Amino acid sequence: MDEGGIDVDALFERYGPMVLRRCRRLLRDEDEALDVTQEVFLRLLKQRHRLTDRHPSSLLYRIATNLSLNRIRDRRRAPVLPGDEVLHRIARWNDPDVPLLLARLFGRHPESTRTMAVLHYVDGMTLEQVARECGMSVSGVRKRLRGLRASLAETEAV
Amino acid sequence: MNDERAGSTPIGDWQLERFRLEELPAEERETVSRALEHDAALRARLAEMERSDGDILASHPARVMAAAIRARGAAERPASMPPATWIATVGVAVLAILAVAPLWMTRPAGDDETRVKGLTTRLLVFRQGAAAPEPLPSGSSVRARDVVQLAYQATARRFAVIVSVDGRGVVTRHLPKDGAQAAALAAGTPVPLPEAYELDDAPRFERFHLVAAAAPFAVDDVLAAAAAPPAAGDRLDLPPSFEQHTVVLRKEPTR
Repeated sequence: MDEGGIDVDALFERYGPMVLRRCRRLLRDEDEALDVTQEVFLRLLKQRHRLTDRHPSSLLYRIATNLSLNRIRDRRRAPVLPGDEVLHRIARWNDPDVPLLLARLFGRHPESTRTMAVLHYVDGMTLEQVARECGMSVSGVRKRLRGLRASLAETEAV
Repeated sequence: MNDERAGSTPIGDWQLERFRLEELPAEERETVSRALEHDAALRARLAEMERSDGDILASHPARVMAAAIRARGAAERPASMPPATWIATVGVAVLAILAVAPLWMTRPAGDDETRVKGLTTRLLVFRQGAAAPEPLPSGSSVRARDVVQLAYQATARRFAVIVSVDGRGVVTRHLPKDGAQAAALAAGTPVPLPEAYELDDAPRFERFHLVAAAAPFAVDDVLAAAAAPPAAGDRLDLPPSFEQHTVVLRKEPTR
């Protein structure tokens, strides 16, 4: 595999622990977290052109979030709770049911919206910080999250 | 739920991570620095991250992880064969082994059989005989020209490499036969390797090593470890994140 001059050993030495911690926190499964961590670096190597203008930590954190959410989605386990309570419980991150809730919550939304929601509701980033992380305007992020809350309201109404 | 987070925003893990990496924008870095001055809990979180860094890199060394990432990139598809292919490539004798294996698996392990807590992957060794395959637990005696059949049993999704080392220090690679990365194992019943293995006249012992992990890793790392003196308990000198199962057979002089 062409690594494009990237020193993978050095990259993992510097960023690997951060990525693994992120995957552990979202997935709550050591084997899956380790597997996704490798996927994150593989994805970074494939998208190394994106490394040009930002610090790698920001990109790696976002890729780790996104791939972990994909893994949660693919578990296809039964949903747990409907409605706004879902978001409150996501914000209370220590709830052991959170991965299941995420699966239900984000199944119908684009990857980037899922990532924004986790950064905002779970990680506590402000809308401005989320916008900067995702390369969008604040109003764009707000609109996406509004759409997400609307679908949650629909879910609750059903 | 309100989108905006007003007032003094708590410092998130993502900010601490980037603070440590010195990759926070200047304004946020200043905010974190100020908070650290008066917030003991925040300092404790930062210290915990530093400790976690050390633990992670000790369990998953950058060299090993980078090799696995490279290997994964080089081979996008799993290296395992589907069960139907296995059945087609092994003969009647190996099917007999499959029938025998579950019985042998219930036996207590030999004293010098190396196992680790939480082992999900086991190495099985059999001697092909005229009547039926003979299970060879660690510590069994074998002779030159005995034909041994290796098999594995995995109870979870795992990737593995199987090698052997003889009394002359010669390393033989059994699984995967080719390729740079560990083979993806089929979980469930014991799976025999496609080829049996005739022992040569190397003296003293034949040591078989199965090295497994939850994610792909480089075969070369296992070959290098096998060529070096073993660590405690006949384990290969590899990071503790690897599962290992070792079977040592005693080599009797040829009659």
